[in-house]
Amino acid sequence: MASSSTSEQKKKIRLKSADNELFDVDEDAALQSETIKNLLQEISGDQIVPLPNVTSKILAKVIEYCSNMCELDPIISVNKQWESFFKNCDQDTLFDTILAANYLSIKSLLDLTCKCVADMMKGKTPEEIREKFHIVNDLTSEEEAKIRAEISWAFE
Amino acid sequence: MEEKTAKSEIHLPILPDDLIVEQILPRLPVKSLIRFKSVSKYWFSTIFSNKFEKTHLKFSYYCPQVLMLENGYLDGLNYWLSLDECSNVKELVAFYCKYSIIVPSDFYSICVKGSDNGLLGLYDASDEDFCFYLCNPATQQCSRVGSPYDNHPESMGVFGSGFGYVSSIDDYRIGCISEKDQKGRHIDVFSLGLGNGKEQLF
Repeated sequence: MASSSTSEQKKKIRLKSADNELFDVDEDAALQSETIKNLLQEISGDQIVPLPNVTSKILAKVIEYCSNMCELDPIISVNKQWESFFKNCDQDTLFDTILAANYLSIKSLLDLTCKCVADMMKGKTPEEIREKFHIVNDLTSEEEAKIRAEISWAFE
Repeated sequence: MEEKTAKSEIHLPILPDDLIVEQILPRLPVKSLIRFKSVSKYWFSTIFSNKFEKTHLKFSYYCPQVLMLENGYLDGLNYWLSLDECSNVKELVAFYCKYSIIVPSDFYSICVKGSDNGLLGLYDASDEDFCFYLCNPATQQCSRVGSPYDNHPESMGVFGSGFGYVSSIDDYRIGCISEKDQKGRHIDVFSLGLGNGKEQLF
C-alpha cells in the first residue's frame, strides 16, 4: 500500500570506479556521499561520475551500504549487521573502506569503520600497532625505554 | 597507443596520519592511548598535544565514566573509580597509584577541586605551599597553574576556591579567595594560558 514507486523509475546515477567498472546506483543512495553530491552539481545530469580513488571491489561494498541505509529497515539493525561485517573482514578491506568513506565523504560509514578499527586496537601492544599501521618505530631505544617506564601501568 | 602497466604489486592500504589522529585515536580508551605513546615519535607528540586533547574529549562522552572519590573514609586518600558502559565498577584505585607521575606518592593531601570537560582541577593542601594543578587523566598531563602565595606571600590562608571552563574564551579558570589580613582578602583568578594569577584586592 505504501509502495507507489514501482510505476515511476527511480533516478539512477552512473559511477565509474578506479578500475573503470560502471555502477548504476539509485540517486538517493548515491547522494549519501557528499563528494558525489558535489560532483553532480558540477557535471551535467547524465554524465558518468568518475571516482578514481575507489576500486570496484570497495565501491560495490560502499554502494551496498548506502542502499541499505536508504531502506526503511530500522537503521540500528542494519548498522549492527555492517558492524559485524567490518569486524570480521580482512584489514585491507576495512582500511580501503575507510579511505573510500573519507574520500566520498560518507560520515556514517566513516564513523562505523573507524570505530571498528579502534575496537580492534584496544588490546594491542605498540608493536602490534606498528605492524598493523605500517609504522616505523623512530624512537631510540633509550626514548622508548623512558616512555615505557612512565606508562608501565598501562601495560598491566 | 598508451601502454598500461598492470598493477600487480601487492596493495597495502595505508591510512593517512590525519585520519588516524582525528578519527581513530580519539575513540580509544585512555589506557590504550597511553600505551600507544610508545608507538612512534609522531604518536607520542600527538597524544600529548592540546589539539588532540580536545578531540578526545569530544569523543569521550561515549566512553566509560570515571568518578573521583575525595578523601576515602578508609585512609584519607583520593580514589579513582571508573565504570564501564553498563555502569559496573571497572577499577577502584588510589589516585596517586594510578598517576604516580603526576602525583608523587607522598602527595597525600591532594584534593579535587572539580572536574569539567574531562579535566580535573586539583590543589595540594599539604603545607603552606597551597598550589593549584590542572590535570588531564587521559594524557597524564598535569600543569601547575599557580598559587595565591605566588602573588602575595604574606597571605594568611585560603578561604575557598572553584574551578571551571569558560567556553567564550576556550580556557579554564581557577578562582581563589585568600585572607590578606583582618580586613582584606585577595581574589586570584588563575588561567592555564597566563600562568600567573590576576589579582584583585577587596
